[in-house]
Amino acid sequence: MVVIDGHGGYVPLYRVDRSEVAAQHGGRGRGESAVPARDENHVTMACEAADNALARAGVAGEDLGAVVTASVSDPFAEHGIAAHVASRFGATGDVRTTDLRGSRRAATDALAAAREFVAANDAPALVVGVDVLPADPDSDDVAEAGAGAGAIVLHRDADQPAAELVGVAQETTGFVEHHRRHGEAAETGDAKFEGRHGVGEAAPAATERALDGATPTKAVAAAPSDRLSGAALGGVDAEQVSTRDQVGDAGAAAALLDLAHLLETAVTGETALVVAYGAGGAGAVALETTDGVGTADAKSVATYLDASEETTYAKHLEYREPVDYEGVKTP
Amino acid sequence: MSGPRYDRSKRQDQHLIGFECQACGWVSFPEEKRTCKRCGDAPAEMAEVQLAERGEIQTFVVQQYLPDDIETPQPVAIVDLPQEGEGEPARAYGLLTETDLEEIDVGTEVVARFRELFSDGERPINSFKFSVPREEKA
Amino acid sequence: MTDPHVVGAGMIDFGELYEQSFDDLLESAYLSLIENVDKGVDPSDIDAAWYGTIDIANEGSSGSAVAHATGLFETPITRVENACATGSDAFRNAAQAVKAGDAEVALVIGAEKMTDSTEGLIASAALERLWRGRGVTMPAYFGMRATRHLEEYETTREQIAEISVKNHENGTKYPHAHQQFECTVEDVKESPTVSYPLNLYDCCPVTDGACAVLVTSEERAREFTDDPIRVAGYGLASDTFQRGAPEALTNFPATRQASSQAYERAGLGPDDIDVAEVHDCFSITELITYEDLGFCEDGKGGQFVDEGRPHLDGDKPVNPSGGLLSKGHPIGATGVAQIAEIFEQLRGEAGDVQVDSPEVGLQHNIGIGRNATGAVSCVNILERP
Ligand SMILES: [Zn+2]
Repeated sequence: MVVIDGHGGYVPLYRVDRSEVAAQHGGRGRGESAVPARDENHVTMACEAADNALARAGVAGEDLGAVVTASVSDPFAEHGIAAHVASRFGATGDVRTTDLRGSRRAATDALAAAREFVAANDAPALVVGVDVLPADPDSDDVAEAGAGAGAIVLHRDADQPAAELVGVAQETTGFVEHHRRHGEAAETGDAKFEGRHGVGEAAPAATERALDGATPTKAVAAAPSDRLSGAALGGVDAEQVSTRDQVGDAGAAAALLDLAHLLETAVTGETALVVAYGAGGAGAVALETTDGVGTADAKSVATYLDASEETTYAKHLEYREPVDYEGVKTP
Repeated sequence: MSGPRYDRSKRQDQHLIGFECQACGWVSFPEEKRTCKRCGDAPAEMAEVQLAERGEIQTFVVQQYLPDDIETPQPVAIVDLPQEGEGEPARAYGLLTETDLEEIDVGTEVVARFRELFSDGERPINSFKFSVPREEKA
Repeated sequence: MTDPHVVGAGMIDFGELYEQSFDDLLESAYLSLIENVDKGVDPSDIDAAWYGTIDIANEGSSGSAVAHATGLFETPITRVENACATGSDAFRNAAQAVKAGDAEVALVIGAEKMTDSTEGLIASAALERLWRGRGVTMPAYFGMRATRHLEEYETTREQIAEISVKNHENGTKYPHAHQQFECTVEDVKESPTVSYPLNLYDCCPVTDGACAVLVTSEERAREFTDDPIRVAGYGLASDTFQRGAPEALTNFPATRQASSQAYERAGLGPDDIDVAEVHDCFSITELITYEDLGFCEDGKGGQFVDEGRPHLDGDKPVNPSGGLLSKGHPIGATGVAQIAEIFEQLRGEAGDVQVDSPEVGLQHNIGIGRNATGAVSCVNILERP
């Protein structure tokens, strides 16, 4: 048995009104997108979410056996996120770190990898998804570019877990329509085509395997667009928990952030489903909620959603760019 | 985060470890001292202490003119970082983030926030800034 | 052992001296000194020199720059750097050497070319060191004391501003001062915020300048003037707020320590001081310094101003020359120029800013160093013999 011992999310303070962004391009938009502050980066945001998850788990950082991170927007080719999150919490030494990337299913892949680690090693593992999607003023998805992080602590057993992981599955197809180079706007392709042949052929198969006949009451689904995430839950009759209206597209972080939100708002005894669809296929995780659901011991995603401050379209663009420090190193 | 200058004090910078003089109780932070800045004990017996991830503003200013590296207005404070256990706090400079003049005063409790301070080449150097608690922004 | 005496001073007009290079400033101050020693001085009489500069213009200005400016190549010349206490510490070093009998006629020269530095002092706030003064400029360092002083005591914003008003008024009467204009409390309060709670008119200007003084043994003083001024005491000390003392948040323990050393050496106390030139890089600095020097009780610096005591016609005139706020603050020159002004005051030569027959004068600087985590203070006391 592997359980979710702690869950936590993080959403930056600043929000841009999507209708304001869309208006500049003669379009329409609704909802808001989260904008990271100028002094935030992937590692700091991941640490905020991880801090909440570790607090709920009551797990000390130095007791972690593994840290697995998922991101589709890490600006570094070599540098990584997982090892820096691990070290920030004192998880150094014999600690396995894994940086997963390249597809939004990195979120469910991370849960799968961590589950296997925990089952084999009986040491807790931390899973963190973190993303800051690039905002290109020339692209259609500039308004939706969001930012956020979600974290889950897995353990072989716990006093008061939030959920038990009952099924983990995937469907690899090799299908790619939506894709993106580092720092560039995505090539979204034909959404209808992707819905049918990309999502349609991956998500249901993964879901069916993970659920193994169970019927979920709540679900989170992450995919490159609102429309595709709806399609990823096609046929599943469950309440969809989503922060997308306030956070925007949070990439591979979305599934884990929404999962944290789900576990904060669920009751004991629910069946929940996590589906992440991205380049190459889909992953799915089924879980049964237990006594540790709720918002105790750490800041809730709802708090992060409520405690926000409007910012401008200009900051939405500027805060995603690396800061050009010309500082004084040896005064 | 690495590079000799930043790697050297990583435990203090990312884990808020301080060093308490066993002769007078003064807490050295972030330096790892062998002499005491207060009582002058040398060599001083220093015990490692864990500082809490929060602080109390002792005094502050709000900067309007700074190099482009730093966004203005920028509140800068002297903060006391309490120990997790008994003992004196450490006193240090703290940069505030996501916090306005109207939200702070002498005595305001702020929380430590893990943030990017600058970079070493391309590598971000992350350590702590301070802010009013996020829930107060609701 | 002998008592060191100041026997001459050469001041130049402070200002934005675009036409003068760093080396020109040194030459100007030296020539001004040579011209102003009552009975004259032969350069060959000078047997040691101390040079104060922080070299903000980054010209590699070591002691040899003074040799180039003066021709004193065969004379030992030592450069002193001690933050904003640089000039006063150069003087202190010269006085010590004379007192010890190691030098009989010592030159002290301080200079700073502030306007050639394109980035200025503000650039240092981009410091890439954790927990040190990243984001801390000079107005921030002193402004933090203002915030705490306003909070802890009955000090008002108006009292702080009044110091700037007083010093600007004095500056209009002092010919060497950079800024020659008066301002009101309202002007100070309405000037642009530099670093809350300090505004533009709470800050000293960016000023070029240089100054030189001549210090000799008691035995040789009268070769140069019939009216020498005795160096009665001096002190130097450092501090940091990191030591945790509560008074380091509102005041400067370094000034308290340096002044107590100087008072003790001189056998004098704060009540004996008839005129003072103190470090008013910002209005709040002077207010704090009244307390640290013992001119008034802790927390009563504001009241001290309200009562008019530090004004030209007050019982404890402070900064009759207009202080750094109006005269300017060319860092290495500042302390030396303050010595020159006390020298003039004690000789009754201060013209429109002359205070009523002073016998004892005090000079003070407070400087900030080590990435804005430490402070250093130097205090010198001069006395009519
Ligand atoms: Zn001690």
